[in-house]
Amino acid sequence: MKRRNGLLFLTLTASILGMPGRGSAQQSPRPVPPSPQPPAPIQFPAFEQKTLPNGLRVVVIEHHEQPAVSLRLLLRAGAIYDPPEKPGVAQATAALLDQGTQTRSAQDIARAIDFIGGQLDAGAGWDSTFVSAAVTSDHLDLGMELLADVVLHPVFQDEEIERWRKQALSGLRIQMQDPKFLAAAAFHRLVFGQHPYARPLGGTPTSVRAIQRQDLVQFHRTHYRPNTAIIAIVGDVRPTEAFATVEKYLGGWEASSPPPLPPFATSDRRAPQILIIDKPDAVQTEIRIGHVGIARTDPEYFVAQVFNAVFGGGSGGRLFREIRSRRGLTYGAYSQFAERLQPGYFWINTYTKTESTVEAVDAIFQELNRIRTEPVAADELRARKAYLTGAFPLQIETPGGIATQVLDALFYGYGKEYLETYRDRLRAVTAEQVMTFAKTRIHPDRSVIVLVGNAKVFEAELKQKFPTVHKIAYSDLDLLQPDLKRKKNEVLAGPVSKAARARAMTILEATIQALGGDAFIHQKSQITRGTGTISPPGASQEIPVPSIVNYTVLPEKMRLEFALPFGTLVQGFNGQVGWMSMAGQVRDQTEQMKESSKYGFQMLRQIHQPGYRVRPLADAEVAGTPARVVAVSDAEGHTTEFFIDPRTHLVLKTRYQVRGQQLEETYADYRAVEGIQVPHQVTIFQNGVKLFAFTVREVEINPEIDESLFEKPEG
Amino acid sequence: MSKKVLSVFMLTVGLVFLRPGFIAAEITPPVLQVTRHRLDNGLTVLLHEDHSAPVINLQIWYHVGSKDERPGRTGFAHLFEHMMFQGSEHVGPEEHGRYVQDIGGRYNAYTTFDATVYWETFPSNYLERMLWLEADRMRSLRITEENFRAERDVVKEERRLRVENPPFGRLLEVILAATYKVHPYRRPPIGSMKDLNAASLADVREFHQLYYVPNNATLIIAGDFRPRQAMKWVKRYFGSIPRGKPIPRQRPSEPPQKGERRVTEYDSKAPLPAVIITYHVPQDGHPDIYALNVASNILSAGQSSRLYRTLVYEKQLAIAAAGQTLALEDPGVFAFFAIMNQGQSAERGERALLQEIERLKREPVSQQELEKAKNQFVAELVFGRQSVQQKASAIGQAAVILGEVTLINKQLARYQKITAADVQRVARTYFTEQNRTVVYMLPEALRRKGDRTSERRRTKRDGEKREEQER
Repeated sequence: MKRRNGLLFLTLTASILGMPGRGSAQQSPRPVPPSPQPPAPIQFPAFEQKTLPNGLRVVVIEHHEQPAVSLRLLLRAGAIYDPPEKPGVAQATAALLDQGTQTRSAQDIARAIDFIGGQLDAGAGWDSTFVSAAVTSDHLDLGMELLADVVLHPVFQDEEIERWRKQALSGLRIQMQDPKFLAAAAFHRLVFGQHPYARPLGGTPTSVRAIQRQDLVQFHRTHYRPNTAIIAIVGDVRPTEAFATVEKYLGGWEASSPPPLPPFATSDRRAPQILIIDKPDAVQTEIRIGHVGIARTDPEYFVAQVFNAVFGGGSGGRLFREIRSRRGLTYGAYSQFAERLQPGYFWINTYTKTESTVEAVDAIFQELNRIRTEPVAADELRARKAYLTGAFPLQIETPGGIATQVLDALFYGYGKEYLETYRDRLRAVTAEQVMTFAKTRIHPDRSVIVLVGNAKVFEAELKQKFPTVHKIAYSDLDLLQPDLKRKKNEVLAGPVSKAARARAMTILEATIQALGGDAFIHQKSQITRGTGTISPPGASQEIPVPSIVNYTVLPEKMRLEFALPFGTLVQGFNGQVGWMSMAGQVRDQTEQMKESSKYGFQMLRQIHQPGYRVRPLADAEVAGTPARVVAVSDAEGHTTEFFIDPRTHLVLKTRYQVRGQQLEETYADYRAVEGIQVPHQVTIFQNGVKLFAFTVREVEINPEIDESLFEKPEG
Repeated sequence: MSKKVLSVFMLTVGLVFLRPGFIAAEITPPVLQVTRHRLDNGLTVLLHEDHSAPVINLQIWYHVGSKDERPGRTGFAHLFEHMMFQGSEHVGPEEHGRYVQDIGGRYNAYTTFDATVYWETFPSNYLERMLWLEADRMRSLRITEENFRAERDVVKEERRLRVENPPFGRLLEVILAATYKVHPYRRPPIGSMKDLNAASLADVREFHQLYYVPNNATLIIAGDFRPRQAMKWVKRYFGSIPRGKPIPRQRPSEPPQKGERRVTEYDSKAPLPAVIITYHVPQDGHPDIYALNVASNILSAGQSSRLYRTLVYEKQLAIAAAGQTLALEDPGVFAFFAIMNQGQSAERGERALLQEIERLKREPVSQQELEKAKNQFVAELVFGRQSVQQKASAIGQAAVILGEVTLINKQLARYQKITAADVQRVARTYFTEQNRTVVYMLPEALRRKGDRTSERRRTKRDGEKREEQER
């Protein structure tokens, strides 16, 4: 949605910057610099707020200097909600909004907005997605109409998706050679483990290839909702007109309940974790050092701001002065907190010529050590607080600047009072608080260190400081892999060697033993009772299921009863006929049930039968646990992938494709029942979206089951 | 009627009939009021009052850029820019930034082909202090050999950062070296490592004496101040700085190109093939530049623009494609480029770009496209003049590069006068084969076996002399 496609060229033409260095020049006596005039009073500009009946919060900020209006919609639809194996969905959804709606083609939209000299933009970050329109004030109505259309009625045509995919893959080709991108991506992966913050916003080549229309439709349906969104209208407009325009185009947008955030858990490390991404043609090493940071709502947010201003915020921070100005090692050296809905990261970010890589890393650790052991001097603290508070009038100079402040505050749950007291809260931070913060929230000894550069020049020197250094060639990098290394694909395609088959069989044998050995293999039947939730595709919220009962007679007879608030849903299969019934209505499901009975967990019991083949696949992760992956196929080629925990040998997940749908079942909370390990938490995902979760309360192994339960009832 | 056709129809009807006044922009960007003063020592002072926020942006434009560098000192104007932060008579190294940041201000500087610009944005009650600060470093520089060397290392890191390490980092160097043979625009402002290493502290002193003088400077103050008071301070701090010698302005002019040039470069940091086609065009402010800028908008502004629609959207040849004027104080270039999609060749990109170029020459652009381009200029003026910094920058560009500050309020009228025939005429005038340079930058992996020569492979054509290797 870029207005200019060619800024690349022009931005290259200006060489920018030049800032101060500390030196040993003798200071001469000097006149006192002129004193300031009395300051102008600073108040946060007035803004009006209203909440529509559908929950959409509307903020209007009047600013009549230029005949322009900006609309900015902030949705709680960040990449934090990307399906686990498909990073990039939030961004793809945003990118495709203006590529066709129910009534307008991509070019219709482009012509309409371009003709009025306007701009329409959308993009996804980790926490939110924004959609914005900027128009001259005579075109407010059209700007709002277009914005609403792309937000409410995108169609995600396959043709447009394929176009996007091609562009995204080419774009990733550039990024994967960009040392800055690689450094950031690897850093996030190591710091955040399996949390969505670990994954690149734009996805990886693998995930971009896997994203399907349904992923986008589902993401849009689930996360584009008015009741968690905020829209700001800023500029040359009267509040009554602005509210009326929003009401007109977004008033009919239906509310639905928001999905929960994914759990936040990251692995603890006890020593620095050092990774070199070896790029032999690099002349400079990109350096990132840091760890998990703070959430936007952290009570120590303001202390963190002051800490950062002292340590590495801008050209007045210690990192810049030491690494750039004093040592001349870099053009930029900064630290930063990325504060988010859930804890973001804290990092130190610099780069230096290959030869001085280790010197720069040393200098960073010296500064880290200093700020954690020496209190910040009063003068320095005062100056850095002034730097933060004094910038406030600059930040609210333009309509866009004001909108940014207001939206940020509202999105993270704050109000007007927060904006008005923001500076006072910064001023209140003390040197003791900064010191305590540095000691308790900054952990050099548990940092992730990522270096992207020409390893052979500095690797030996680095190993003298840090004995365990991992190294990956940049061409081998796969950001979706637990160890970041791209797997050799010969196992995945082509003939499988005898040795590989034997290896896979060994893994599965161990799993069968762990699950109960003969008791597992010869199990005849099972009744499982519990509770759960069901999320039908398209439904906006989960439906709680107070009672679930599953009857199974192996290998394939089954009956599943869901007691739903509005009646009981039953699904059954007698080996020949499949069906579903609810409230007296019976529907045939023979084909689906026949097909799906050939996949899944039960294939494990049949691996020694004729025609069955097994082969190892590349290692993967399931919710942060590394997993061995083995594919089991029957004589007809029905294949299920088993993800197995190498420590416990238990199955963490199965994955298979039925009629173009990808189904995944995760298993957790294994408990022994009569010698068999039974997972007590089972979750089923369809195309990466949660469909059904089952929490088991009671298990009967090998009970007698009345076979009539599996028969299709009369309709 | 298909759904798509119907929606196009409805949209068109909507545009034409349901929104009267839609075609001609109703909006007129506000006039930017500027008052102009000149001190006896030659300093030009431009003031723009704006009391909407208690903020001021102050800029000093020194009329010296990379095109003024002497041979063997490429990159020096920019290196010197860094030295301006290394201390003056009353301000120690590193202190300039502290003076600004400690009051919550922001500052920076940049060097272009034509000028070097220093700026501060700050709470308006500190105007006097900021003037004092800028005056001190115009009057005097106090730099030690040690500071000089450390800061030169910083600039070398900047060159590595922007040119040597990132994907496509060398692209601009390659394009300019191929397009210009004589004029100093053949080098980007960052300069070469070799020349940076050759620069000395003596060069710094000489450069300051020659170019950093009031008669080569334009001071712009935009924001919340009272002009009478401001001028009193300007005179107090700048008035006694002595006028310098007349500024040397002679530089070689680029001879007209006599035939197409072609350059192919293989680069390990080119992840995808890229093709660039440049044409020499006149200097900024020349009447034809306005028509070329209209062409640029029609070709490149937005997803409905011609190059996006054909190369990126319909044919899916490229991930980005554009044609833009690089308008400079001396004759600049109009550059077309396409970064190819995976698996698409630079040759196909060139053919597709040339087709669009020929179309521009063959047939007049539509009224719809022309109106769109003009509406985009209106919007650009409105959105590009929101902050005091944007306003001051526009004033500086007009005053220093175009040589006439009043042009800031006249440009829109010039765009409004452009006709489809003008666009066709400039396309025919400048987009000719003999004025054309074609550059391919290709991934190293595409190099054919046996093509082992240097990284740089050039072919000569149409009587152009084979040029020398620069390094």
